[in-house]
Amino acid sequence: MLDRDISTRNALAHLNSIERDPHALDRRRFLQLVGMGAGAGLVGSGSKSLLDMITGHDPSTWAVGPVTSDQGILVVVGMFGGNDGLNTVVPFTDGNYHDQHGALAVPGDQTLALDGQSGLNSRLPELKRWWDRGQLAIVEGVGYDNADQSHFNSMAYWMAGRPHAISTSGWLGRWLDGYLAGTTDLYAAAEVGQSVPLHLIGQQQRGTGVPDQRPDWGSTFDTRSERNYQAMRSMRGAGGRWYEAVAQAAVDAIDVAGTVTPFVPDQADLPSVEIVARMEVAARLINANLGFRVITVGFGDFDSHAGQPSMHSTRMTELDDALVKFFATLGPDWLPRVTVMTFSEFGRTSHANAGQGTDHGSSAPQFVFGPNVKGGFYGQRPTLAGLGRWDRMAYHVDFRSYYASVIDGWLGGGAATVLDGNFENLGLFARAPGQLEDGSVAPLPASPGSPSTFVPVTPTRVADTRIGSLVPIGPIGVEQTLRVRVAGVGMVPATGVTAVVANVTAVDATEPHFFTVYPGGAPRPVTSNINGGPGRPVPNLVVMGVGADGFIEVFNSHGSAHCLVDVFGYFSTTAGDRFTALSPSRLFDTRTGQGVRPGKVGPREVVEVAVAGFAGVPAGAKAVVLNLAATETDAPGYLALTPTGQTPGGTSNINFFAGDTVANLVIVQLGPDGKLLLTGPGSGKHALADVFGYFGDSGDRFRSVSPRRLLDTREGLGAPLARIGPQRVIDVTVASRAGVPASATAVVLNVAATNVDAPSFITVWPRGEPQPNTSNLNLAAGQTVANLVICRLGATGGLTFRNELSECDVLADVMGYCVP
Amino acid sequence: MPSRSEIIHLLRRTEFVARPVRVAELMAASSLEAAVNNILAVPADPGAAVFTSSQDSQRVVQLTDFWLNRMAHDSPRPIQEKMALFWHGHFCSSNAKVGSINLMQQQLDLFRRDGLESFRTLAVTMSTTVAMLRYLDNNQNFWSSPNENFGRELMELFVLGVGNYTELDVQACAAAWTGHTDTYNPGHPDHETYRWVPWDHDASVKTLLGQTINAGVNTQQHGAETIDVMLSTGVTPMGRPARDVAAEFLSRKLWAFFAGSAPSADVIAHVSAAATNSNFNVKPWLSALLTHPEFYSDAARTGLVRPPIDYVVALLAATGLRSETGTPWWLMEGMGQRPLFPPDVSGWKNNANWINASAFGRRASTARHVSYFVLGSFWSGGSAIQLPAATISFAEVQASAASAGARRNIVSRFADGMQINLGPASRAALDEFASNASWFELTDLIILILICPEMNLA
Repeated sequence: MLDRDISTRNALAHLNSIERDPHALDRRRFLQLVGMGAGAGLVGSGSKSLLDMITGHDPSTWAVGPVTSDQGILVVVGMFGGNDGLNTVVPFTDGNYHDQHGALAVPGDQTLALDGQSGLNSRLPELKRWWDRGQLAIVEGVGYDNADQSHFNSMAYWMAGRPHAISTSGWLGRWLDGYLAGTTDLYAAAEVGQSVPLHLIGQQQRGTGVPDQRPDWGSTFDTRSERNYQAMRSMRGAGGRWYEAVAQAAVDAIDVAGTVTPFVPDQADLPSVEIVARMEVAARLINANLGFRVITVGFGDFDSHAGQPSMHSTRMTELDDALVKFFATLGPDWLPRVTVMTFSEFGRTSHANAGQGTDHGSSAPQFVFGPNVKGGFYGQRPTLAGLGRWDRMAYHVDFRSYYASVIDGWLGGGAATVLDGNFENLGLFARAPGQLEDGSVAPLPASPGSPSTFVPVTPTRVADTRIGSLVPIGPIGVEQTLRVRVAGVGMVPATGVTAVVANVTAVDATEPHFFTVYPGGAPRPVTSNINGGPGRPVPNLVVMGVGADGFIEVFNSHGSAHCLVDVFGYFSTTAGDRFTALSPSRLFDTRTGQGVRPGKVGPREVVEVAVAGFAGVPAGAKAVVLNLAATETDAPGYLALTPTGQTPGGTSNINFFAGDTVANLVIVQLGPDGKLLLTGPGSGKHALADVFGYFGDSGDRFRSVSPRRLLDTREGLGAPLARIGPQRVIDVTVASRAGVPASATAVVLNVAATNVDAPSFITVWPRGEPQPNTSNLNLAAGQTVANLVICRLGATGGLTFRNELSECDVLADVMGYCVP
Repeated sequence: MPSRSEIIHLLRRTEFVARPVRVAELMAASSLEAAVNNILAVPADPGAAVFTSSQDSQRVVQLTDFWLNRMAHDSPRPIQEKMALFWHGHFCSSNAKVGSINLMQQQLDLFRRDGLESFRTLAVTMSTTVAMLRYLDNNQNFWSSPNENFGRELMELFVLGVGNYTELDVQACAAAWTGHTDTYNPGHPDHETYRWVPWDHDASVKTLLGQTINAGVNTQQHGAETIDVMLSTGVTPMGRPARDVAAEFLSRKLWAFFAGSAPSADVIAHVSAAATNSNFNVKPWLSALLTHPEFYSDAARTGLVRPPIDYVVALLAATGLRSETGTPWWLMEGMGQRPLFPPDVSGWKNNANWINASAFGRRASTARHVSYFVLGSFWSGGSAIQLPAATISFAEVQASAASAGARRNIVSRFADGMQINLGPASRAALDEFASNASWFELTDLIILILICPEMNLA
């Protein structure tokens, strides 16, 4: 008898829901706002209250938690409509099976043998491979007491993890509640598909809906698009629950699109069968290490009341194809962290009907598999003896026990809370997530987004198109791209590298042009790194994410130009130093003798500069981030910074002609005594340097991003549509924009100045702090100048830009950021 | 006298959008009852799609376009199409299983023609449309081997709601419907028709909801008898009159479809009483809902998200585009709702079901598609952007870039031209966008207006 309290409307309304309650408090953001003292200022600003800021949150700020090495990832495959378990795991020696399933029964010799009494459906060879490896658990007789015959009620009970209950939350959603513990993260659990199913809805948290094809809206990052997106963000406002929900959904679409676009292929490149495409996207999302612990997908129709032979075979083939595609796409390093499980709202009747079909049943076998699964049969196969036409099979494993085994065995525990009680753990896992058969823990695969630490290397040239060293000989032509391998070259290892620190120099340019540097295999962004032209080599430091293929790519905009790439270090997920951003301050200046002996640096001179213990850099720092400038130069030459204890020579940090004032960012290792050596040919030149941070044992980690434009005063992007200077400042919000999360402590930007009307310099510093006596870009009239800037973020996650002596337009592109 | 805001709300919910001409007509009505009567005065003949192709791959688009054009432009009383959409999502059949646009059209035209008449007649007639016989496998429901799919869903999803019948009732209902099947004409789907096979019918006496059924001499009427029992003399396992249970179940579903807010017990009782008092005649039943004060409450006015079909209809109405041009039917699945293809037998859900990042990404793509056609001739040398209530020339757009004030004014020109009322947040966001836009970017205002939150609410 059915429970009279269950209305279909209630059960169904809860199967799919909005992604997030628009009123949910984003605790992490709230604490940040309060911590930064933003509350008072925002309340006073008139247009928005503090509460608006909290609830109108920007999901791009939440991508803060990639998977750690001991965390398991779960992929849940829903088979909607009620899968016929008897024809999936076929009990071919059971006479009752043949009697009751009649013509639908599969002969034993047409199955993939498991144990002599049962075989897998012949369309499931991929599952058979997992079985043969001893890594497929077949859990027999999964169901629940007094099985409901309604698809919708039974699906709701399974998704809720609560038989015979009207539940507004699902089992994975409640797991998510505990996992995020009050914080919010749009990239912790997701459904790949069109809507968010009940099982991903928690009491506080909700999973995300990731589209199963490359999104259109939200996936382009040019200035015009960004302004459109900004307008959409601004439309969020009061207007009732649904107004807020639809306005937020449009913004979420933009943010999810922007985040997943690099990882989701064009639809034309995805398999045509929906579940196969969805599983490929699932594997790509895991590879991207955005932080997803749970990914769910679903497909159907399994409701084979009629025409079952072809219908069920097709579903089995689709399932197997999807699994093949998933494991072929998944990065092999992720394997020991991934487990796949299946579910369906019920099995089917053991008796076939006259339409070559079966009707709604009860229990059925389910699969759990992956490298860390302990293969074999679990539970108990229900007997078919004595079952009449409308009798349903018994169940032997409560689906809550099935879930508990996965929650406690693979997702870090908490099953008793999630499932409102203690249920038997079936012991489905041989090893903990990440653990290999020999007991060691597999290193986490690297991806450009993984938090990383810095490893300096002996400077190495990895590309020189003038001589064809490691790259084809010949300049990069107009709108041509040079691919440069960086991982596995020189001292940079082949794996675990997320980003590279390199000086890229444009030489022998035929026209004014720019280089865009970006991770290998990524779509080319609308950004620039080096702005050069005829007559002079132009270097610029890049901190660039390395593509999964180990390459970075260099695109040339106009004319042709040669390209040199010198690597100074790399960011790694496995070893290295953490970054501490400092308020900018001058480390030394040979014009005044601050921090160094006074007077120009001669051509053969070696000037020792003490770094550790000065300008905020502590003793014990391993490397520093400096902006090095040359000025009052008497002749062409260059400057180089070398750790004490190493012999200077062979590399350079700045190139100049006589009379130039130029600057370039430098990330350089300190000698054992915490000092550097300053050298360079070309008769006299003054040198000065400002420090922006250092690397050491404690501090923050770095995450590179695919470059995104943050600021362009020519377009009114990120700041008013007007040139800046002289002595005028602009405040630029960085956190929560262009892929930088609110939790970022520092940002790596490539800043370019153009439309410069007179010599000047630009200073960048954390918003809300006093202006330091430092500089980042040195400008000359008519030139376009670029330099990398690594700077701590100030109040409300912002930076202040100031042009001292002239007017110019300023552009800034985000290359990465630091997080605790 | 109804207020203007009441009329606008009423029209948005019953006619998809509040066309200014209809607002004016109904503002002249003496009462809400009169306004609702005007809305419900639907034509006897709603027309039918005429196929110019024999291929279902073309017909599915043609039928969709015909129907969306009726909703957006062609019907003098769009409630007729809106109600057909309700029944299409209630008495669900999907062409994914039916496999014949001809059969889908037969069923849809039934909903379009009779959707505001007797629920009893509609339920009986739809039960033997071939589309339904196939969709819920009743064409496989025989005395010798019953298939309970249709019998179960008839009670669970179509008339009573789950929990108001027993498994024995399901078996009785399934037995009553045995023998109603279809002809099978492979390769000639248009010639597949309803067929009554008396020798496949189980004519043994059954008990349904406490009533004796299946005893009549006219065995072909045994199926319809089950619906009569549910709507009259039946008693549920909990002892309630099935008629009251059905009235409440269906009234809740109508309320969710038209109002969206959480209904009070009072309004459900009021609307349910209208159903039973009128013997489930849809017009007085719906009229009771649309004239109830709770339908005009703040909660109801802000209570409903536009489903994707409504959203597309609103886009067509705002731009004046015909569906053949303006409807990106390939994006409708991604938004979550494609006509003729409901996701399963329980139909489409409301509100929260539509709201997630993926679906709204597709809504934005849809708006972009529509704006492309609005602007197509403009960018290819045309002199003006044609909107239903305004013609905005190339020169006007270009000139408006001259000052921030003029740029903000163009926001009003576009919104008014598309007859869309912007709320304060959207208005401020668009003004801000316009004040920084170059003249050619001002055309982006069209797409931004078409995806604003106001467009996504019913």
